[in-house]
Amino acid sequence: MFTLAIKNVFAHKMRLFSTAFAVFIGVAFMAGTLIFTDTLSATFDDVLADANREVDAMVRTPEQVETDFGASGSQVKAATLATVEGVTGVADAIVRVSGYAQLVGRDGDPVGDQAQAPAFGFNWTNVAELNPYQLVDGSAPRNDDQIVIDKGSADTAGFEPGDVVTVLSKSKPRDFTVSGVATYGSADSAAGASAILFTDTASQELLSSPGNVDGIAVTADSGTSQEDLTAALAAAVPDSLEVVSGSTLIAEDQAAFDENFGPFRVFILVFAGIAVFVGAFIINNTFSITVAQRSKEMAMLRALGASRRQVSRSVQIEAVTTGVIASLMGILAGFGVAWALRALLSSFAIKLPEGALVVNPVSMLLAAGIGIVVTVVSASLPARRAARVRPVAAMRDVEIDRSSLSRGRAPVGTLVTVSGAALLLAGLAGLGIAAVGGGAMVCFIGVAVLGPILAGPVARIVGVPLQLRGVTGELATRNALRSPKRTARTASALMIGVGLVAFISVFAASTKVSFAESLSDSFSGTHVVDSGVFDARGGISPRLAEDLRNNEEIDLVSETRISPAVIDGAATGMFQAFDAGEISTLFDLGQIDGDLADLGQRGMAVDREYADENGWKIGTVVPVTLPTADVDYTVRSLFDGSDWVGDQFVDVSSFDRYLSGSLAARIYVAGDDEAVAQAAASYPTALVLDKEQFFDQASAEIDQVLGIVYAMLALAIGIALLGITNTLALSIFERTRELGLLRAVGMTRGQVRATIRGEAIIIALFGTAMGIAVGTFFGWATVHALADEGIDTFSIPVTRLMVITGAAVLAGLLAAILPARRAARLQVLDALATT
Amino acid sequence: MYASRTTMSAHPGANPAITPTPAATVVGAVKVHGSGDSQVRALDHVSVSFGQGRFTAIMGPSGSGKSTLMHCVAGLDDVDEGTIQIGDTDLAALNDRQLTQLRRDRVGFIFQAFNLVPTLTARENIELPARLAGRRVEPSWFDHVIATVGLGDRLSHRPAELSGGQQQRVAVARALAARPDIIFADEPTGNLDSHSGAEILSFMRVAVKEFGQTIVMVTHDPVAASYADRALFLADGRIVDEIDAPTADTVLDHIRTIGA
Repeated sequence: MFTLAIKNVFAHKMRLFSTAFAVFIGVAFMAGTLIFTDTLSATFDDVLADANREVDAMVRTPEQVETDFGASGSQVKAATLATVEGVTGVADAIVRVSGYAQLVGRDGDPVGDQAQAPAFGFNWTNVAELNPYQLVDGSAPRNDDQIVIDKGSADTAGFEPGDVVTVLSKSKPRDFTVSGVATYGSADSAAGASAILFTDTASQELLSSPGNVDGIAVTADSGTSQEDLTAALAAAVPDSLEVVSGSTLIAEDQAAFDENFGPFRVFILVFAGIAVFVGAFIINNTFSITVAQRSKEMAMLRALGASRRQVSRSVQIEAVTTGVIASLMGILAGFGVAWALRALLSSFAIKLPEGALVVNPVSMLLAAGIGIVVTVVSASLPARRAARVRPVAAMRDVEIDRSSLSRGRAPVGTLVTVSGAALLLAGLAGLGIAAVGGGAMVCFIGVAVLGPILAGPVARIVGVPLQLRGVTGELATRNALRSPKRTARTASALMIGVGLVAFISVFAASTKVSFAESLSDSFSGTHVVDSGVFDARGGISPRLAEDLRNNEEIDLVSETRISPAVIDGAATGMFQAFDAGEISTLFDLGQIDGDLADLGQRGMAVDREYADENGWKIGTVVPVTLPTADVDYTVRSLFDGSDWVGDQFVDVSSFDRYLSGSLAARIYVAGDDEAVAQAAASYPTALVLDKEQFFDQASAEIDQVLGIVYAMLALAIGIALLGITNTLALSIFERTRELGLLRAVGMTRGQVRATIRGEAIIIALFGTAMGIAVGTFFGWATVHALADEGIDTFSIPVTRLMVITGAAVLAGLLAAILPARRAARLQVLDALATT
Repeated sequence: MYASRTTMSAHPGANPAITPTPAATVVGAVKVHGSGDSQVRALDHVSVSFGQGRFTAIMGPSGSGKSTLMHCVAGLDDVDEGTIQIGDTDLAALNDRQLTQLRRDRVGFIFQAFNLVPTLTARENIELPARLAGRRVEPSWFDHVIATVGLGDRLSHRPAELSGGQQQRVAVARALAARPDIIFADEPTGNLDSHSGAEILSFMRVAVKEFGQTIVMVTHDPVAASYADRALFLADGRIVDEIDAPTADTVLDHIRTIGA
């Protein structure tokens, strides 16, 4: 009896552990993410404030389209500096110039990874309080051939003062002598971004254009307030310029930072949320099973006079206790997660400031609150079920959790599933990402409601191969079918993780296939010269495009440049410019109205369908706000949709005029292999890819994202596996006597283990089957919704899904190890004596 | 009280085709439960053998060691001293796997209750030991056993759909189906009404008489013991008495005599 008591305690410990673990993991990741992002936000706020701390006013151009990484144009005349210096109250005034400048390492490759962190060039200023960079070695640039580089890049590339280095910019590659090395405040670099600091003249030449600067930073005399200074400057400078105070500038910087890191925060929080969602299933399942197992005890309580409320409250109290303990531990572990996230991110190029983690009490309360609420809500149904136990059950040998399936389950489950699917589709059709997420969640819940109905047929099917192995497989199948609800609940937790993995796999496969088809169908060029940075930053000097154009062995060249813009009131990050005269030969643009070669600097080509939606015709004037200018473009040409050029584009000459300094993100070429390679050889950031390589690169990028998402979802799947372990352990506990009987009549320990493994495999395969079905549907719906974005071919990655299924079997085996061992170790006589 | 009687009576002609090796032999078995002050000698130098084709009832009050004796002989438990043999096989020499195989292939069990695997039908329960061994029960023998215990129309039922008596009949059929060297029955009628109990005992009796099956049954019911060829009486871990061809009355007399 003593051993039995011990076993009982152990079973409870196991139960507490696995229930709490699901909550714990979810809370730990939520808390960790919040701590990490709070810390990041606080430290970066400091760093950003440092850069502009001493600036009391800034003179700049008023056009401000959101750009991710600094302004990409220069519209303030350098000559304005003299005017500014003459204003009373001005202590110091300096021009600021920024743009793209990339250091080339000794090996000829660009220093650092452009796709990870931007490469900036600035002008060096000797006004120390306006210069966020501090020399740690060497001296400031004394002539136009000298530069200061950031310590991060210097350390990475092994450069020191005196070295001659090559710098890439929008112009031709050019050599400079390193005169000094500087830190950004106390950091080696500004959040991983590299910096090359030129003289004023060189910076204008390379980064903007001679005589043009980004703005003028001003400090005030002591005794002059920022407000007074700003007002005085505003009165003095031309009306075309705006003047903002230093405090406004800092606020803008911080807002921009928060906006940049917002998506990252949301990304990790989404996965923490998924973990909590999976956890909810496991909590619900564990409480359901234990309430059923303890129904005799509860009936006894009822018989002794406990009210229904008291019985259900006892379960709720257990849930609250579990939730509180797990959430508090989760928050503690959150510090570890935050630390790990920082270390992880630091290992990828981005050096993050060390220092204490910042804890925001609101974030912690939020994480703990969610953990506790989820636990209590998940346990509420089992608690109500506990209250329904009738006192007379105390006298009977109760059947454990074998209540038959109610007739309402099928219609209710179907209804929930269909509404979830409808919400998801509506979200994809334009209702927004929240509707998509909510719809997916409701869909999962709906399928989970249907689970017990599906459990029978599915278990029988997946049990077939197991039964080939004999009676153990048959027993495993029967055991899995014993309580379809229990099996379904356990499998449902796995369904979520697998469903999302399947979804992302289907989506990625469809994207690849669509991309490949699009590449072969609509691109008639031979090569893509890629910078690895397909956004407004760009990465290839437009000079390369010119070189290629001038090369006789190359027939067609079109660079593409990208800028954020507000087009007729709608913001986009992808306003593209092409060599309009060449583009229709390189890409299939269908029927073209108007002459693309004749777009000029203020003409725009528009996708015909998009033009119809907006009521635009040839001749319509469309106002566009670029980062540095407002331009009224006239629709001059209509074309049929292509995945490659977007809804509208303008000619490169327009960008040259309004966005001087913009770089090419890509150059599309039709020409001789060798000639292209040769021309690009002196531009280290330019990667020459033939069609196949270009596809491979895109595939690799997709796979990389896929890998990250898989890793994040592994968490949800891991939790679900613990759920399987938990269910099996609880099931075995209640089948102790039966196991004793089986052992007595000749079942070997190996056969006991095989039976339990079989049950785990069935549960895992059931969850996987539901997950793949739901995930494939999600994938189909998403591909369907994104047909306009160029992802128009639905493709099911059969091999990958088979691998996932295989992994599920292995995972099931893994989950069964402990319970199987425990079951096999049961002493026959002890087990037989169990009541 | 009395010295243990270690001699085994010869077979009283009930079964002409008997070979001399007993189905099971116990020599000097000692089993101690617990330790220190709470130490209990469940078996105290017990020696006994169970002849083939014989139906033996082990009787005794609670705590007399009768269940322990059965568990040890059946390979469910081990002894601290002494040897136990099933046929020629010494159980002490077997590891868990071999013991399990021995139970599967050479021993049958009928427990008081919860004899059956609830997820399996009556037929599947009967075939279970053979199937665990990767074998099939010979169809004609299966039919014969089923006919004997009268289960023909209940084979596809699950235990939950069977009455207590029917469940025990399935248990008897399972024990017989594997043609074990020896069947151990632990209070097989303890949970049954007297009518069902009598049926079960009759089947066991038939199995001994007609199939030459060896059965050892633990019981405290004199009526049940009267179905056996021989009754052993245990008290305080020792065999204190034994009678051949017991009847309910002689058994009761002996119980009174030994004061158990």
